[in-house]
Amino acid sequence: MVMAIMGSPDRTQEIVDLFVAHAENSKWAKSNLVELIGKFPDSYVAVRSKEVVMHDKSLLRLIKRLRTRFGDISDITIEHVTNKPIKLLL
Amino acid sequence: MCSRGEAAQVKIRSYIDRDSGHCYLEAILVTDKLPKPERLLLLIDTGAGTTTILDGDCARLGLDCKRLPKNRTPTMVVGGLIDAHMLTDVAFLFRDTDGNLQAEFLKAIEVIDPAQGGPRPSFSIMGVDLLRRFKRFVVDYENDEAFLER
Repeated sequence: MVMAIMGSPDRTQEIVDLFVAHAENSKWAKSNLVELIGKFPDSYVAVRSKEVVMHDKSLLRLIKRLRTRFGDISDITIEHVTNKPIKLLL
Repeated sequence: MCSRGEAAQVKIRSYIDRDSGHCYLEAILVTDKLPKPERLLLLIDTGAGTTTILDGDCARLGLDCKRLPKNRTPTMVVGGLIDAHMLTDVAFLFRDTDGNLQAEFLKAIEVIDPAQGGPRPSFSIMGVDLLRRFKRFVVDYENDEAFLER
């Protein structure tokens, strides 16, 4: 079924690579959360290859800036870093 | 090893937020409305009927809501009713614990337009329409593990 969606083994590998890239970025962000909160409090941080490439208080503004600078942002993980707990009521 | 006639169990690991207890899942969205597959972080929400791309992800993916049809039925959220857009014929890809990709199709999901204001979460919602495609959703808070199984 996956091959039917993706069309070729190369594209399937592209998906696996995307999973791995985001998993590594998220893991890196979580393990450096205290430092990130200290540097970029209440902000959205953009992580690529385990490195903060941009940050902004506004998610929409950050996305626009990322697109302007990088074009393709599909391998960039965006994390909200704050020490203020946010409750979700969905 | 499986006994005869018994299919191997597929497990997809979910991430538990230690502070909130919410469960999240990594997924790749495939749709002809996007030039390439895109990663989504999905909050597993048993209270949501429909899988929904929230406004923050809508902006990040560059989905143009003006080109998407509106759902005929308003969506009730906390705070009132909103008019969600629809994204049709989508596929979600997940990575199982063996490293293989697993796919699920949905005829339609909803998309919240960033223009509608509100908070900008950097995740989207996995509703019951997608969750029920799996046999089991197991959450083990004691061992900090959660899985979707099929």
